[in-house]
Amino acid sequence: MKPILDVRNLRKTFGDGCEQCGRLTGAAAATNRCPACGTIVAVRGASFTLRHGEILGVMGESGSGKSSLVRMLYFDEAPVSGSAVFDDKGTPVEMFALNAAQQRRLRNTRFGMVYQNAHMGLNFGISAGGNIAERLLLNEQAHYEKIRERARYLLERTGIAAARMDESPHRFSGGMQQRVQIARALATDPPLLLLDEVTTGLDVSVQARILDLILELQEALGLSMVVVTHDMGVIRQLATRTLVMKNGEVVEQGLTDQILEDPQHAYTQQLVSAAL
Amino acid sequence: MGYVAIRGGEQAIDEAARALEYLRVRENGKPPVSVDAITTQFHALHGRVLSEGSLYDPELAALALKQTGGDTLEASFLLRAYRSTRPRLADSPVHSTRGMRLIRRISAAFKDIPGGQMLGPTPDYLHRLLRFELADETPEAFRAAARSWLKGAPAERLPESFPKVLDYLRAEGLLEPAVETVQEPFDITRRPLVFPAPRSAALATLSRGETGSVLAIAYSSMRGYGDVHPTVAELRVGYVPVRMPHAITGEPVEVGEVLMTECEVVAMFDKVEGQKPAFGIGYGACFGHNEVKAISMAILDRALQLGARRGPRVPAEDPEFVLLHVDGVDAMGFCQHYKMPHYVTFQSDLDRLRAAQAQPAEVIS
Amino acid sequence: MIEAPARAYQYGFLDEYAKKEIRRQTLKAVAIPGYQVPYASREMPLARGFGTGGLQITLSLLGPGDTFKVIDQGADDSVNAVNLRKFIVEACPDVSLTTRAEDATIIQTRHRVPEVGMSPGQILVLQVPYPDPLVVVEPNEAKRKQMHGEGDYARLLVKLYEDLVNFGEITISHRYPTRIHGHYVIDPSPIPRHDVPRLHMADALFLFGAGREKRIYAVPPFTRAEPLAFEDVPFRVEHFFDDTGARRPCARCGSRESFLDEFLDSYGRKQFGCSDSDYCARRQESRR
Repeated sequence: MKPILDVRNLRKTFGDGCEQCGRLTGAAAATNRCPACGTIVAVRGASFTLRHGEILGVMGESGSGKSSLVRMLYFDEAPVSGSAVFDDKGTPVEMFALNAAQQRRLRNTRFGMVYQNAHMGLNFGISAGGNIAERLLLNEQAHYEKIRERARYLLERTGIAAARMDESPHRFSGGMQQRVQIARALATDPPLLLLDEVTTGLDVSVQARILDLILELQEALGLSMVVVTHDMGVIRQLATRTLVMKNGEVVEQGLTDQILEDPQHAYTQQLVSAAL
Repeated sequence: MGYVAIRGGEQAIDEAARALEYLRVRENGKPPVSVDAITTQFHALHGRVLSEGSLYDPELAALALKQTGGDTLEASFLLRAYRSTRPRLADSPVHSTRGMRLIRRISAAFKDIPGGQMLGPTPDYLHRLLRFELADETPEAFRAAARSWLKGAPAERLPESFPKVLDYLRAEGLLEPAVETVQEPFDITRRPLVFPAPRSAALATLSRGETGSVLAIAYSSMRGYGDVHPTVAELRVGYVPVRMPHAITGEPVEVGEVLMTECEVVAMFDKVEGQKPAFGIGYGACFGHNEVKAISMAILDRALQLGARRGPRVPAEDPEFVLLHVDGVDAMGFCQHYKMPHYVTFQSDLDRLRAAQAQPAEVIS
Repeated sequence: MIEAPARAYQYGFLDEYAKKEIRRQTLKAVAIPGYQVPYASREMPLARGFGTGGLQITLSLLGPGDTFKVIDQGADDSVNAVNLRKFIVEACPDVSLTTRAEDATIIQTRHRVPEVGMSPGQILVLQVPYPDPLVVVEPNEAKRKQMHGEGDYARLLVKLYEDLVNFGEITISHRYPTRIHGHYVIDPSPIPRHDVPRLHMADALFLFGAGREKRIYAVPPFTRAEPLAFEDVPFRVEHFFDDTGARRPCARCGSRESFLDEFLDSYGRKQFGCSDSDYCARRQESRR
C-alpha cells in the first residue's frame, strides 16, 4: 500500500547560501550555520515515508530542524526545495506544487496540527468551541446547531466537559489547552495529525494522560501522525518508527525499538545513553 | 408637525456660513489681515499648510489660512480640493537638493562639515520667553527691525551649492549601499496606495502628512516603541530651483523655486547576514520651513525600511499603520463626519441591543 | 496677485482625467461583483466621511439629461443631503433634481435604499466609510486581500458563531457582511439590515464608493447578494413590533412596511416614523 506521506529531500534555509554551505554545516560540522556566508541550514534534505495508521517520531535537540520539518508539512513555512507527496484518498498530491488556496484546503480539511504553544494553535480571543467551529466553518459547514454538537462531542472525546465549551481557553490549564488543540485538529476528521512538542512544559501526570489520549485516538480513528519531540519517553511510548535529527540533518531512522536498543549513529547512542 | 426637529435645510446652512463669516470679520474698525502678512508674519503656520496641502502655491496657502481663520487642517484641505480640479500638464525631471539656495544648514554628526554649519533662522537656542514689547509693536519699530538686520548682513555671496554630509560618509564606505531605482516614483495623487507600497509612495505620503501625526508616530519610535536611534547627518532649509521641460524644445528650464526642508539621518547599522555592517539612512523632505516634520519623516522612513527588511515589530515600522494614519485631511474629515446624523444605524443598533437584552438570563453567561 | 480663474470650477468639478479613471475603475468593479477596486481618490470640497467616495462616482457619471436625487439617512432635506444637492447644482448645472426615487437616473445615498425600490436602468451610489468587512477580524490589508482572493471568510463566520454563544443573537446591526454571487463578501455600507435583501437579484446597479479608504465596488443587477448566516439561524431584518407583537405603523403615514426611526415627540413620548422622508410624505399626501 502507498504511504500516506512520502517526503523527499526537503530543504529549508534562511539566508542566501553559498557553495560551501553543504560542507560546512550538518551533523559532522556540528552546526547548522554556515561560517562562510552566515546562512542557517535548518533542514538539509530530509527524506522519509509515513504509512497509513503509523506514528512516526522525529527526535532531536532544539536547533535540529525537527520543528521546521513539521511546519513545512503544515505549510506554516515554505521549503527551499524538495517534495512531499500526500495520498489524498488514493490521489497522490504534490503538496508544494499546490497554490495557496489548495494548500489552505489541504491544511484545513486533511491535516491537523497541535503546537507546543497553545497560543499558536488557538485563538484566545474566542471560546474553546469557537476554535473548533472555525475549522468546521472553513470546511463549509454552516449549520449552527450541528457545529455546536460536533464541538461538544469533540471536547468530550478529548476529556473536556462540554459545559465549558463557551469559555475562553484563557481559563483552561495547560493540559486542557492541549486537549482543546487536539479537539480542534480533529474537527474535520483529518487522516494526518502533526504534533510539535505537545507535552513539553506540562506536569508529568498531565503529560501521561495526554499521551494516553493520543494513543487511544490513533487506535480508534486509525490516524497517521508525525510526532516531534526532544523527549525519549514520548518516542518510546508513541512512535513505531523514529527519525533522529541533528543540526538540520537526519542522522538515523528506523524502527523505534531498534533505534533505542541498538543505536548506530554516535549521536543517537549519546542521546539514548543520556536518557537511561 | 412638532416632532420634525433636527431637519435642517438650505436656509440653516446659509445662516451657518454667515455666522462663520462673522467670526472672521467681527473686529470692526480693524483692517483685514493681508495675504502677504500671513506669508511673512505667520511663516511657520504658512509652512505647515504648504507641506500638508500637497500643492506648492504660497499665495493660495496664505489665502486658505485667511479664509479658515488659521486652521491648518481646513486650509490644507482647501488646497487639496482645489488641486483635484487641476489637470496634470507635465512632470518635472527628478530634482537634486544639492543646488538648494540655503538659509540654514546644520549637522549633528560632525562639528566641522565641508562648507560649514550655518545656523540661520531658528529658535533652537533662544529662551522661550514671551516678548511683551511685541504686544503693541508700532509699524515704525517693525520696519526699523527689518532695516537694521539687512544693514548688518555680510556682503559676500554664499557658494552656489554645498557638498552633502552623506557624500563624505558614503566615500568612507560607512553607508549601506544605495539601491539605484530605475522605476518612476510612485505618484500617490494619481494612483491608489496599496500594500506593500514602494518606498517612494511612503515618502510622498509622509511628505504631505499632518505635522503632528508624523511627529507623534516618530516620537513613539524615538522614546521606546522602536529602536532607530538616529543622528541628524544634515538638516537643510532653503530654496530649490525647479526645472520643467520647455513646452517646445523639451529641454529642462528653470521656472521658479520652492522652499523646502530636508533632513537626512543615519542610524546604527542593523546586521545583514553576508554584508559588512554599515549605517542605515532615513530621508525626510517637505515643502516649507518645517524642521520637526522633516526630522520625524526621516526617522519614520528609517523605521519603515527596518520593518520592510525584518517584519514590523513596533507600530512605527508597520507601513499600513503609519501611512494610512498620517494624512491630516483624511483623518480630520472622518473625525468631523461623526457629527452628521446617524439615526438609521443607531436605530439598527438599538434593535440588536434590545433583542440581546430580551434573551433569557441563562443565555448571557 | 491672486487672480480668480474665469470659471472657478469646471463641469463636474473634477478634472477629466480623474473622472475617466473613476469610470474605468467602476467598470472593473461591475465586471468583478463585490471586488474592492482601489482607485486614486481625490480630495473633494467636502470632508472625508461626508460622502466623498460616493460623490466622486456621481460626478464621474452625471451628465446632461440625468435626473439626480440625494438621500441622507433616508431624508432628502437633511443638512448633508441639502449640501450635496447644492454642490451638484453648481458642479453640474444641467442636471435635473428630484426627490422622487422612481424619476431619478442616479441616486446618491447615505445609509438607506429607497423604500420604493429600484428599477432597471437606475444607479444607486452608496457612500461607504469602511469598505472591507474583514477589517474586524484582520487588521493587515495584505492578508485581507489574500483572504478575499481565496474566499476565506471563516473568521467572519466565527464572529457570528461567537455572537450567538455570547448573546443568543447575531449582534451585527448594520453594515451586515453580504456575500456577492457566491464569492466576495462586501460591507454593504451602513444600510440597515432592512435594506440588505434589496441588493439581491435587483433590477438596478449598486455602486459603492469609499473616498477616504480609496475603494470602489459594485453589486450589478441580477447578482446574488446573500447576508452571511447559518442554515438554522437565518438572517433577520430589524423588527418593529410593539408589546402585543403587532408591527408598529409609521406615526405619520401609517406604513407597516417601511424602516422606522424612533424619536421623541414634543410631549416626550416615544414615536416611530418612516426614515424615508419622500416615501412618507407622498403616502401622507395620498391619504389626504
